Parts: sequence; structure tokens; C-alpha cells
Amino acid sequence: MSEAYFRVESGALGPEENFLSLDDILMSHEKLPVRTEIPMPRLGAFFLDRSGGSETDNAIPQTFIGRFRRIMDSSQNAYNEDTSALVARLDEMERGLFQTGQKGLNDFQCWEKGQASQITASNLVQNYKKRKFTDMED
Amino acid sequence: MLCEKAMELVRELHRAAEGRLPAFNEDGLRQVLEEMKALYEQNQSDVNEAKSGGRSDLIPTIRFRHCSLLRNQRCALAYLYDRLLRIRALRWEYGSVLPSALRFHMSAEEMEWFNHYKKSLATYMRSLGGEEGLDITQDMKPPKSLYIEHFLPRWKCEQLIRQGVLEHVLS
Repeated sequence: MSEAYFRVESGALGPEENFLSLDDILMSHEKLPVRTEIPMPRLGAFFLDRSGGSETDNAIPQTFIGRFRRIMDSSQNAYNEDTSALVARLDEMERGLFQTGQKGLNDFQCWEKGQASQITASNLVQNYKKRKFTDMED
Repeated sequence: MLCEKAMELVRELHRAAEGRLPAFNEDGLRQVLEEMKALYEQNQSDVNEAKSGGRSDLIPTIRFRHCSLLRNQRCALAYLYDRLLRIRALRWEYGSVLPSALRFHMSAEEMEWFNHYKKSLATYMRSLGGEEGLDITQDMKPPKSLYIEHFLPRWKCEQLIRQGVLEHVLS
């Protein structure tokens, strides 16, 4: 749809986030394992006691590694297929990763077929070239 | 969990494929504001207690609630702002009269904003291009060819054709 819709870009590549960027808000919405160093009274359900043993300390990185690897594998090997089953259980960021992998795969296939160097000249240039030809034929 | 409703608003908009305007989530926004009100009031009361009742142990709690308030505020503002960006784009895509399906997706305030934007744009366009103004929402893509075709009487253009300024196009 909209070519006139210019969303607030992510500040991810710059010095800081953009306050109004939806991407940045989603990106900064992570759940991190924490330990309460001092008590915070009256917050009720928000701070249930959890014990942090070394097993749980490693669970998050391990989960991430596993998911990341699976996304890489599946995105790099599903060529011209229905990928809906593969992305069904991924969150937005993971879907973005998957799409990037797919693009890489498609670009590579293009290159293998020798289509990578196929650039479409702009219409202006094409028309100009055509005109030059007719001049010569005259 | 705090800020869940606010995040839901942000996700809802993020999911709406480029530029599509989902219905205004009045209910969702109301819940975010209610959560903010509750956090604010709890903090007001705890701040008083911390100051006059010597309960400095409440300060971490107060700071935590304040963070949640800021987060909710950020989400709500980003939600409203992004919607305005989409609504602005509608003027350029659909023109000044929107299909009713889209109008139903806007809040009253958003409709008002759209009307103001339309007016500003119209005033600006009238100030361009002399007498009749210039509709800059038309012809937004440059022409395929640099050459514009006219019909001109021969006596006017023969010279110019010779000089290579004009080209005689047959057909």
C-alpha cells in the first residue's frame, strides 16, 4: 500500500534509540533474568521469588542459540516453498531474521543462474538509447 | 505484567502491513491510561510516606513504578504518532475524501487532525503555481520520457526543430 507512509526509523544503527520508533520499542521489550538485590515492597505479584541457579542462568542463552540455529537452517534451505509452518511459532524479530535468510538464499540462487548481473536500466536511459539508435538509422 | 496492554498496542500497529490503518483501539488505550493513573496514584501516596513517614525503603518501588509509567507513556505516544503518519499518508493515497471504511477506523480527534492537515495542504498548494495553484498530489512520479509531446503550428516550430530544441515526432 502506502508509499506516502514514512514510519519512524529504528535508531539501532545510531547512537541511541528513537523514542517514537515502534521497532525500537519492540526491540527493547526483552525479558531478562534478574535478581532483586534490595526488597521492593508493595509490588505484589510482580516480584515472585525465583531462585537463580547456574542451570537457569544458562537457559536463556541456550534457548536463543537453539532457535537462532534453527532459523538459520530453515531459512537457508527452504527455496521456493511454503514457509508458513516454519515461521508460525517465531516472534517478529525472528521472522525478520528468517526473511533475511530467505533473501540471502534467493539472491544466491539468482547469482548461480547468472541473473545477478541483470540490471534493469531506468526508463529514461532506455528511451534515450532507443532515440540514439533511430538517429543513427536516419 | 506491567505495560502489557501498551505493548499490545505497539505490536498491533507493527503488524499492520506497511501503512495500513487498523481500527483505533480505544479500549486498549483506555486501559493503558488507567494503568498509568493507578501507578501514578500509588507513587504519589508512597512518595508522601517516604518523605514524611521516613519510609526510604519505598524508593526502589517508586522508581520501578516510574519506569513503568515512562514505558507506558512512550508506547502510547508512539502508537498515536505512528497512526498519524499513516493517516497523513491517506491524504496522498486516497485524496481528500476518504472511503468510509477508513473513516470508521479513525478516532474523532484523528479525523479532526486529518481535516486540519487537508486544509494546510490545500492552502499550501494554492500558494504555488500562480493563479490556479498547483496540485502536488498528482503526477508524483516523474515522466518516463524527458520529452513532452505538443502540437504546434509548423511555422512556430520549424526553426526549433532545426536547432535541435524540438524533435518532430511522427505517429
